Amino acid sequence: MISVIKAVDERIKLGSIISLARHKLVPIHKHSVWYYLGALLLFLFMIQAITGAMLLFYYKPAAETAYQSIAEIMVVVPYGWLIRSVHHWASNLMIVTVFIHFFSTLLVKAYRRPRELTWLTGMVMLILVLFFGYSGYTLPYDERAFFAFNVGTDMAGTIPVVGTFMLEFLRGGDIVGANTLNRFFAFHVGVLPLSLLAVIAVHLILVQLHGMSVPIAVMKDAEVRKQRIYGKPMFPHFLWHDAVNCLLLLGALVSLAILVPSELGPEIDLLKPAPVGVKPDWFFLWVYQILKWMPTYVLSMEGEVVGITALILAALLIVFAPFFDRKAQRNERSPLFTALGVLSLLVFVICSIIGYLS
Amino acid sequence: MKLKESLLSRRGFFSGLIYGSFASLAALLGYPAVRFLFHKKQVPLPEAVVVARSEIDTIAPNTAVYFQYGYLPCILLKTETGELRAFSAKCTHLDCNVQYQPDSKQFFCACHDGYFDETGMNIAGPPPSPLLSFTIRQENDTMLISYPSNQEGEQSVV
Repeated sequence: MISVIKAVDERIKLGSIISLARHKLVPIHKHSVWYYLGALLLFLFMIQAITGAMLLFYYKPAAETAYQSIAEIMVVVPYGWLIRSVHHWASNLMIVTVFIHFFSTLLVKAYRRPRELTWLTGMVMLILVLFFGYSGYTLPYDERAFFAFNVGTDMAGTIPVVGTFMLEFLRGGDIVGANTLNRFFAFHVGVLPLSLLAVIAVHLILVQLHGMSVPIAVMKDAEVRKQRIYGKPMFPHFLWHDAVNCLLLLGALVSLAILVPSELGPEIDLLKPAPVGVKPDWFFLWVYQILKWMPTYVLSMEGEVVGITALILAALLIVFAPFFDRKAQRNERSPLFTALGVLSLLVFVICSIIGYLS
Repeated sequence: MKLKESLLSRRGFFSGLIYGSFASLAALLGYPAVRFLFHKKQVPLPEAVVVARSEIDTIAPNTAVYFQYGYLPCILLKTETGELRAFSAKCTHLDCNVQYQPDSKQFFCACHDGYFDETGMNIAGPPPSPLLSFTIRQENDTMLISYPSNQEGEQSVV
């Protein structure tokens, strides 16, 4: 065994990677807890890749067979319900974790120089993960999928300039149907995983290159007290923390999957009216609620168009925060962007809750 | 009671506990995964395939037609003398489908140049055993082709 490890080490210099990790220090301070989220996301991504590949063994991605094959996974294939439920819950936990990662990074302004690119790749991944979730829950091709298809692609259709093109591109035609399912299948198992994997790689390399960002307040505080910020070696100390977190997450994930298995709605019926109280998945509830509040017309423009345009502009402000937030770039406190971050967090949480309760 | 000596050090005990719990965790996750992946849909083979006599009359002598026996691809040969023979179309070498060559009156497998004669006997090339042959029985106006239940080549089929 030892000679095998030695032989491998001789060839790929495993030792140098480990010693690099030993020398890499993770700063320890009162906001260090936010550093754990990345590893959890990576772990969830791996679970999704594995359970997703497993589901592909039985899922038949065509309009005539999709629903039936999911039903079969749930009741015929041994432990199919468990694998699908784990996939379902891991996706939900992944989106929760992505949002926490996003808001924590935004609020501690980790996007400051030199980490602008890391931030941008993170924003790309946030969008990819949301699209992952959305495309995933359309694949069972049940009633919910049908309305999600319609509403989602219709909303893409209201984006100024590129709307019509987007709508037809996503639907594979003028209306939602068999082509839409095939496209979303291609996104979900082909385009998105490969894109996400590529961006994860860039994101991780950048994180290793720059090390962990220390919040401005912590840096100032250390300066005033003339203290150094204590660091913990990445390997093995910090990795042990990550491992324990992943284990706890795995426990929560499997418990959720067993106690609250994922559902399968009634079969799709193109002629059926939308059921009363139909809502998007929870991570789009805030958008749903904001659009519901929009009046039909705002200054002779369609309310929906105004709402979506406003949301896109707000999103762009956040995406390009590193370039607008001059103060943070100079490592000064920037209360304006803190306020913006808190505001967006509040809008997200409150609108989601109202959307859920309404 | 305190033992003077122990076979197990404290470190060894806790290592065992940790590795043991990881092993049981792996087993707990691995068992459903393996059961899931190795699920096989059992579609039993039909007892017989029924063909109308009139349909068989349309086959010219010294030609063969393909038919489906449950999930098995099969081939029905009408010899020059009008005798009927049915075989599994799967070559016994590596499961490609064979074809009948009327000129040489042989079954030929194009994958690795295997040859079988009219009776399904392997005569040239790599195939290790004869084609699996089916029993044919006439009942009134129909022909019943059925899977050989007690024939040697059986294992090579499924």
